[in-house]
Amino acid sequence: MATFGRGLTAAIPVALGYFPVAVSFGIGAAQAGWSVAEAGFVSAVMYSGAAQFVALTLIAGGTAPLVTIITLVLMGVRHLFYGPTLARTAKDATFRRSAVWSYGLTDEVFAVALAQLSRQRVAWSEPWLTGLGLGAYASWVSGTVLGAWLGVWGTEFPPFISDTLRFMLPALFLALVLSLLTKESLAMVGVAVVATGIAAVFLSGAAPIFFGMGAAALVAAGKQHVRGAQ
Amino acid sequence: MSFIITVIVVGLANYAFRFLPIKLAANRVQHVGGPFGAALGALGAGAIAALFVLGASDFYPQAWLPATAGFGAVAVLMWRTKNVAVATIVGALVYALVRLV
Repeated sequence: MATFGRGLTAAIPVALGYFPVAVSFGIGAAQAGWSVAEAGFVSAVMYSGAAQFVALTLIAGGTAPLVTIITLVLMGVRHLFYGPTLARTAKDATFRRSAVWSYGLTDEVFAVALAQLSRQRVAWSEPWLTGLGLGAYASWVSGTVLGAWLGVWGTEFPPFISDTLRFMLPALFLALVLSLLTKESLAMVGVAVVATGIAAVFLSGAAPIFFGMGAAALVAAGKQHVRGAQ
Repeated sequence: MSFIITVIVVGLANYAFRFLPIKLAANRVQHVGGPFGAALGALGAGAIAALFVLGASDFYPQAWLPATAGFGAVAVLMWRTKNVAVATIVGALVYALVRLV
């Protein structure tokens, strides 16, 4: 049985990767004139890494609140697909506690959950998902508070350690991609990688993710269609 | 005041994007088959592959050697152990060691 504690353990790579990024956000927030409480409040309530850095730039730059809100909301649209995608790994399961665990459904938490559930390394369990999400969330919020505190005192996280920990997130994504890789999914993943790479040349932020997702979905649907026609 | 409102509105929107599709569609998508079902099932792998590309691109070209060594270590460890946490942590250590050298 996948428990809350096991979820917390599964969150360790995510938490380690989040921490330096959150510290950087906190330092940036302090340098922009935000208090420790304000920086912590943003991380606790908004809880969306890339969007928070954009928020920092927009708010500190005096952008109109409505423009800021629209920009940041659009950045979060990709999350619409995460819940239903996870749900497909949970045949006949119920979602009684989804109001709790869905709060922590970030890119990284989703990726870890999907990889573990798809490979049936853990059975569908809402306490497990809650532990996974809480571990990542605690790291993000505490890292922000520490960073803002360091920023207020004019100190910074040692760059070498920060850079190494920052490498953990792409390393984690690679490990997760490889854990999902089968003969069947090879073409789909390959096309997603190429589509994202091309989109990233022309688009910034989270937009290239849609191209990766769309390309993978098209390949999978096409293969299924051909199989159905045979 | 506009600061607090902005943060709360964006936070609520993020939460709605994460929670509402589960509330509204989760039970329905569980048994969807055919090309649409296959496409839905592929969205996750596509998203993770895309997140890897975007995350890795931060390290190229300026840290290409330690990054390539780190990713290589992740690939080897995944092939040998299939343990995501171990592969990730060792990959980061290899990145740090090569960066030091």
